[in-house]
Amino acid sequence: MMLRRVLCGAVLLPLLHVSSLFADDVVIANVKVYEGPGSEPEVIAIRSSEGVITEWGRGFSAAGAFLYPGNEGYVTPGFIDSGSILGIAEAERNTYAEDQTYEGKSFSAAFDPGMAFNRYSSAIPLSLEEGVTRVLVRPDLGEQVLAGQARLLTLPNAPELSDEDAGVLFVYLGESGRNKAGKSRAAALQYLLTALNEAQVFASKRRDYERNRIRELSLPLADLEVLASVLEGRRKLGLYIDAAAEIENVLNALDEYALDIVLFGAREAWKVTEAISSRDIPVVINVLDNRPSRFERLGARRDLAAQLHEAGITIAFMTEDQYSETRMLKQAAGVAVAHGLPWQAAIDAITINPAKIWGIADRVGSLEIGKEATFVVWDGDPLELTSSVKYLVVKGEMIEIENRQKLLRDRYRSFEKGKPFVYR
Amino acid sequence: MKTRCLTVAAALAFSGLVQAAPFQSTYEMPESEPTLIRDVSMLTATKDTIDRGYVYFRDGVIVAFGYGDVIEELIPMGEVTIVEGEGRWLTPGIIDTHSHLGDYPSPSYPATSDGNESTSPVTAEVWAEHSVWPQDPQFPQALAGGVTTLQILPGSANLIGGRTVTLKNVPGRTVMDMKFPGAPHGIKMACGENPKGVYGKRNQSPATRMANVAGYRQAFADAQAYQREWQKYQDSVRKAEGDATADVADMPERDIGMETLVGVLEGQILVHNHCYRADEMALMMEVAEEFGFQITAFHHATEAYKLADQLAENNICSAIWADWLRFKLEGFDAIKENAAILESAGACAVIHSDSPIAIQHLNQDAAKAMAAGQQMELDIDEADAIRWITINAAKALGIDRQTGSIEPGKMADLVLWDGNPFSVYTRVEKVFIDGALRYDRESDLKPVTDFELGHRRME
Repeated sequence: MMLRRVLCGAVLLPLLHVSSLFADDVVIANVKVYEGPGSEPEVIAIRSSEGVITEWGRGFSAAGAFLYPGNEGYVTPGFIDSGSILGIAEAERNTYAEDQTYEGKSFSAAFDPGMAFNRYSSAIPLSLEEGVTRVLVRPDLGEQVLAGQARLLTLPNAPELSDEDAGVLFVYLGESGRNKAGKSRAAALQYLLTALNEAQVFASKRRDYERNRIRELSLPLADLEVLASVLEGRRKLGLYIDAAAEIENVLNALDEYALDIVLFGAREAWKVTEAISSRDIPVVINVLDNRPSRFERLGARRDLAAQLHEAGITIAFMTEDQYSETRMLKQAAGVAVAHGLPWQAAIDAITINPAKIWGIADRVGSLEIGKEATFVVWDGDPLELTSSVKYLVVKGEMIEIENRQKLLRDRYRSFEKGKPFVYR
Repeated sequence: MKTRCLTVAAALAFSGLVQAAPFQSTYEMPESEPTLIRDVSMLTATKDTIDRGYVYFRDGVIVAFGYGDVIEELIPMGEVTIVEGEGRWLTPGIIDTHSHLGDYPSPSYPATSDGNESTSPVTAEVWAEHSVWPQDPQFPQALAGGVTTLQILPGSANLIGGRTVTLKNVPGRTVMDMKFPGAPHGIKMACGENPKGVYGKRNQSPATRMANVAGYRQAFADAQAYQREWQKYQDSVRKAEGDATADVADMPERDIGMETLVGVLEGQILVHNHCYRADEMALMMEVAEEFGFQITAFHHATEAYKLADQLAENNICSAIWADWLRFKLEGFDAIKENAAILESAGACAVIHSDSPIAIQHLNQDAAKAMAAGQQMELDIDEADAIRWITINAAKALGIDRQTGSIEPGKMADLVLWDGNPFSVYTRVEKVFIDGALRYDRESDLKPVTDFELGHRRME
């Protein structure tokens, strides 16, 4: 295969599970752009130079580029998981390799687990293997309603954090927030309102604050800075809420601020679509978790994605799964299709929609000339369980995915007597 | 060793103490119409794939199935409900060997958390069925995923967690209404991080893996002593029957937990052992050998592929997830190819859920595990993969003679899918349990639990 031949010349860095060629021109011929089951896919070629898609369509020359045969595999933009702990937790429970939860109380909004992101994590290749090239890394619920900041990170290397750090202040309301706010949802909301009020005072009287001339604020400076950026629209406010009534209550209470709100969870959002769509608020959902597992989730349903899409709400998907990293993102999208979401809308929910929500749609999230050359060539329908990644191109670089799970697989392929397994 | 004594149950019955085992199944097979599903694609779980065929069932039992057109002489067409299967697939009902539905129901609160008696490392005396809330809305959700039979286990906080129970996924006012008639009890045992973590934190034993093993061994050594005590009593009673002058020993006191452990020693209670790591599985096989019992299945056996040859040799099933990993250290080496490697080594592979979400899509998990095997060029196909969630699961529960495959004489536990069950786009259309239609998307037939009533949940 051509890929193998080309990559044989590449230097494989030890311990780095992802190796890449430098960003030379890449042409992948004969790939299919697909509108979903039942539609006729169009066979095209795609070219990237210097990390950007430069040609797209039929009948252009591959001169000067590495040419890869697409064998009519389907091509999609790299997928975006809008809620994960990838790279900030190696193995959970009783290990010290976890950074997603802050259980202290010295600060709240200022907590930024992305600062601990491990770009060498052996979990990252597992995400790439499923076509996921960006993740919103978010804090888990710790001891406070304002759990900290979430960031969108680009795999595999997640360079400069500021690169595309729209940044999100992540707030757990609902029953989770209630448990951290003196055991009332009303108190959790009041905590958020108080924090925003303080930040407003702080932002409007920075000088006085610095000279210690305003009444004392309860939040530390680091938190006030983050909250001020939320008020100024430089940072989004991510609200994890499930119950329909609470969604209404909270959105009404926040109307007096000009905030850039994104709803997470929102399992009962289908009951209050008007309250959401009229404010033009996007919603990030977990497709697979339809259990009525709390009173605030009694209205959970598997066709939530279809319901919200029909109501004209911009949706994106998150795996928020501690058991499988981001591996189940495409499965979730497929299940949403099985439960009434149009196929293209499901692809959008893991590509262009999150790119829009996280503010990078001008260069990411769709296959267009001039956009970032981050795309996946699949060996079948991209959402099917039996399909896998044939080629992965990130910012124009052909990525070879190597991971320890594959190495384990190959080590135990045969039980014939021979060298001890650790030498295999 | 095993033939040395009578069973405790027999001993107790002899003593007149126990009239009958309590908590017997009260499940009644409902009346159902004789049904013919024709022109349907079938995965029978007997390694057959039938592109177009039929199945005929009556009185809850599969009477006939075959390829191609229905042979009308064999089936009394006049009185048969016909289901047109064109474009659809038929499989045996999905069986989940590892579930906590009812014990950890939705809504999930401390008030409903009834799955782990984590007060002592050995709680052989508890039975999972006594925690099952039949109104758990997760049962109908599993039904919509094609699950017809499931084993409910105690959690894994303890070395020996208690008895498991196998249920039919049918509505019931009581747990007895759901119990799979004739299914053997199981016992839940747990290796590794969980028991040592729970008790170690409290500065109690076990705090280490070595204390885990000591704990199992002592429990079974105690059970042997208990078994001998009853044997002695029983021998004396028998002797007194023939010799009125002989002394009858005092009747020993009953110990509910010991009865369960003796049931394991006697081979009547199947061992379901939560055990992730290959090295720990090997230790558990030694423990089983020492006390003369058989381990039926290792559950969550993320590293089973490392020991596939020995698991095949010892006839132990491995119940596993398709792609969960890294949520704790003992799950760090999980690979998607686990089931396929086990299958290729001739071992019994089972895909399980351990999750109220995953139980709704076990077919999808089997598909992922199948695809992983195919990608490493193992000879795995859909006929193999369907077995991981049907007949192999039935084998692990000791009910493979009753259900788990499409064969004449077996329970008509069947799922009709609206496409290939290994496609993500496919959904369950109809579910039959013992021949009775329990779920039907077309006519909107689905159970609504008491808890859901008036809560405006809809699917």
